[in-house]
Amino acid sequence: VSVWPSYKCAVAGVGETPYEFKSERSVQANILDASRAAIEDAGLKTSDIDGIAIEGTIVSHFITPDEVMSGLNAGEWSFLSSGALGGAGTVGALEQAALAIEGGAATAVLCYFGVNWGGHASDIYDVHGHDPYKRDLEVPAGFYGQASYFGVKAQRYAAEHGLSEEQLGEVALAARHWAQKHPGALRREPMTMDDYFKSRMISTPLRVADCSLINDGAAAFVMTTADQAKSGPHAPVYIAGASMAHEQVANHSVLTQAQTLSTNARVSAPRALERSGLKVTDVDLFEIYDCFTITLLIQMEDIGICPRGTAARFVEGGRIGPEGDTPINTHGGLLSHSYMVGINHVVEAVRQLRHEAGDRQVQDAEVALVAGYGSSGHASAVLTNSPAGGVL
Amino acid sequence: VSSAATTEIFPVLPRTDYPPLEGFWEAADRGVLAFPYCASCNNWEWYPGWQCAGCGGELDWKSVEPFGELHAATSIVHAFHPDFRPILPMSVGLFVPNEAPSIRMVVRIAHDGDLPLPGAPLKIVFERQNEDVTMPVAVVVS
Repeated sequence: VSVWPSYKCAVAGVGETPYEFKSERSVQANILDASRAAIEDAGLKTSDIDGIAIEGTIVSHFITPDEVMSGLNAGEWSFLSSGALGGAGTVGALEQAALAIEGGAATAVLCYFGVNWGGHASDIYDVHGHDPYKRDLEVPAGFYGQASYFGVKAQRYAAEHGLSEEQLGEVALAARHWAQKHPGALRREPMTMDDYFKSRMISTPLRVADCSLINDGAAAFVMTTADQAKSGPHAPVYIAGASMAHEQVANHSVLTQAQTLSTNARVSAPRALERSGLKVTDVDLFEIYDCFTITLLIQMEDIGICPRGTAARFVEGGRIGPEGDTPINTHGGLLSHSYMVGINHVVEAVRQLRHEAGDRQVQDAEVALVAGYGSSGHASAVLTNSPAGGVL
Repeated sequence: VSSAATTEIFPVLPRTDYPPLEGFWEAADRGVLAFPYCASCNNWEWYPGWQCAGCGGELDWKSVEPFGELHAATSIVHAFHPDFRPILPMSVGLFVPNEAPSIRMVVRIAHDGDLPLPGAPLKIVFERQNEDVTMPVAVVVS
């Protein structure tokens, strides 16, 4: 019997700093700014926060949870969950926080994320130089830029299912067309298919336009019980269901030894939906981790938006863009909105479900599915503005 | 018939002293392709950890014929690090040994013309870089 606390917790507040390719502010100040904004948005004081749920392997390099809480003058606090899910971490934090709140470990949980990567690109002597498998088995061959990993996946997808450059371009164009409707998106200039083909090649078949942005900034959200969120200034966004899923394969091997054309979204998304009592066809909009165009196509199939091997054809004709019937990454995603490693996907889902998304609002949106991809780990969450469970 | 020796350039070399991988480099030094294997589980373990994941026993290094096929490759055009810029574009892919098809080995691919497609038959050859390091390179078997 599942005792997962569906619909019992809610996102009560969200906050973001401006996203910039190079911020004048420190990443630490940006994280504190975004946290304060989310707490205020929830109608709470910083001293109301008594828990933290974060992706800890990235953000804690910049600022530790104790520094955040002392920096917010938050007083004493009880609960800390620091995950290791990489790009899936801020989606995973929705589950960490829900379990903590429902279990009585905390009443108001803060999740934050921020980076300052706009000014410093990583290179082989960072993470890949420290992992002995990557350092010895991959970097010398020349296999270490993230785009080279996903270039191989795209080449394999093309061989197994068929994949044209235009189909990858459709994903990039859809993200850009959504971003043009978001005043806070970093890349809002028009993009045509001709522009896509003029984009510089990085690792075949992936071009600059197929790759996530690199920028600075921070975002945060606050979760409480559903009852407490109802007394806040905004309509609650309920956690209908959420799930993490980890591969059998370790992070250092996952991009070469695990399934090339599937992520653990194939586990996390159906399980999150099952916990919510909803089906994928009940979802009005999807916010899916799009570090590369091909990564989005693969997760669309894992989640069940379309059958295996059909995502490339599915996206043709602008179908996932603002004029299409399947809205995906309505803020512009990592490709055109901001590289906030997925927390911006959570914030966008909340804004859509509050019906605060302005020109890009998905009409009558009730249910959103957010998916975070972090190599070996994946996390999915089903959010809704209906305490009865959307369309139930 | 496969190409003769290639002239691939490796601006960055591996260390060969990480214990779980030492057997790979020792075999490469002899011009042999070898992977970690557990005889009691009949299991190849790649990338190898510190013991067989199935039984907790010791892994042995077992040689395989250097023939296999391409899982997929990419032609890297962008200089992710400036040391690689002089040799771009370079082709890198995943080699699946015929005798150990659960393994995918990252390898530089030497080829003429277009990037080899998934399924292309490959042979691994070895190129000595210095006293300590011998690098595998995949060539397309025609």
